[in-house]
Amino acid sequence: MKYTEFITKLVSLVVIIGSLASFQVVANGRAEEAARVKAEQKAAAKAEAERKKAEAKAAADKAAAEAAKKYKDGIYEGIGEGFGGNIKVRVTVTDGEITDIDAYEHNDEDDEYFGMAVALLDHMVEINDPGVDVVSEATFSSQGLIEAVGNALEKAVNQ
Amino acid sequence: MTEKTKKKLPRTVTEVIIRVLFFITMPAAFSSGFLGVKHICSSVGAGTPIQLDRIWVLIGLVAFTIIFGRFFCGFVCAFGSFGDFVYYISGLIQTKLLGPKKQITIPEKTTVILQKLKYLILLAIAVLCALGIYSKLSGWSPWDVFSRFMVLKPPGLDYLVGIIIFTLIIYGMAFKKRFFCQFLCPLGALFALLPVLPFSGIHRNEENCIKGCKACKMNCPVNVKLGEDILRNGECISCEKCMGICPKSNLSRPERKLIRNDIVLLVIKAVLFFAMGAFLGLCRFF
Repeated sequence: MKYTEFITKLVSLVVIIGSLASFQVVANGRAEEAARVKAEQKAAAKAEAERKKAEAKAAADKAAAEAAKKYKDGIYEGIGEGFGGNIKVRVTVTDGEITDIDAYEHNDEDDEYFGMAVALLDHMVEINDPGVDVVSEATFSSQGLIEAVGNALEKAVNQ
Repeated sequence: MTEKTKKKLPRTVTEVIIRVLFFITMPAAFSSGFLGVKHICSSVGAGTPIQLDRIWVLIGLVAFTIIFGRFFCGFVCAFGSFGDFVYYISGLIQTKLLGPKKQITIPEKTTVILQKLKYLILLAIAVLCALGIYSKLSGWSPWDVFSRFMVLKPPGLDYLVGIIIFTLIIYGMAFKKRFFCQFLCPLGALFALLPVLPFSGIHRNEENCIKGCKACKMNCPVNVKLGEDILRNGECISCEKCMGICPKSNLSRPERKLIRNDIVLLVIKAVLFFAMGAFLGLCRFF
């Protein structure tokens, strides 16, 4: 036949193109699957990295906040020498700030003087520091209170 | 000027102009086309999808060859033109040294056997690509060496193997017409296996031939026997040397029924190919 060669080559070419096309379909499917898996892994890795980052950030924030706070939370007891003897105080620190100071033992103090000096405690809570000026009429009681609160807060100071 | 050369002159001039223009504008067309083959083989070997943008040139060349025959081999390919040039120069030298009738030739039987070699080379490259070894053999390809010379960047010592092969090929080109094209070219092997549309072939009106005339056969650079050996039709590189030499213009393409002038047909094909090549990005100037 006149066109035998042409037809043979044509059929071969069609078969080759057909095979390549089917290969392409399979390979594309495989590549898509691989890309999907890869994207998933990437997304997971990204989420993990973000989670870690957020965690680290939270920890750092907390540490920074802690560091920014003057005192550690807790209840601290301190002692100071007043006019007649020892004054004992109990200082409460909440959220890093002095919220309450209770002078629970001041037996040897003169009530009148001590009554004047005890107003200093409110001032200390207000300014969050024991560094206040003494009440001039009640110097010893004042100094005793300041010393006692300072002594208590020594244990509460943030490093 | 004799009657014969006068008749041949317009065709020769046209052919030379077309080939020089393609040589200058699209010197790397063969590499680009063959890259597609390598990409397909590598992809199949690796099981990864074939990227269409890397095989467009190959698709274009294959389509053009199916429709018009191996016009690419005959007129566009820079390696083919280079081979013809080497052979032409060698012919001049041999004529000077040995006399006009004593050029060295390869016997026809050997030629036919050697023509099969290019299929083995195509197969070997395909297998090497599929196994992923080919990319490690950089510096072996004589095409790469030629391309480097074309862009005026002579290859270095890393191309030693390629340079040796390329030198051997130049020797071959000097003693055999289309030495590389018919014996070694893997892209040529691929084109030879394509189903070129039957009406695109060159036809010979044998009844009208001068008795005993073998001009077309003698002038064929790739030893095609017109109308005889149908299996070897794929070897025809559409160079139209037979059409140019025939004293009775007995060889023609069927499309000549539409346009009578062979040279006009040639130019039309060249323009069509140039348009396609430029569209595919083969032209180095735009």
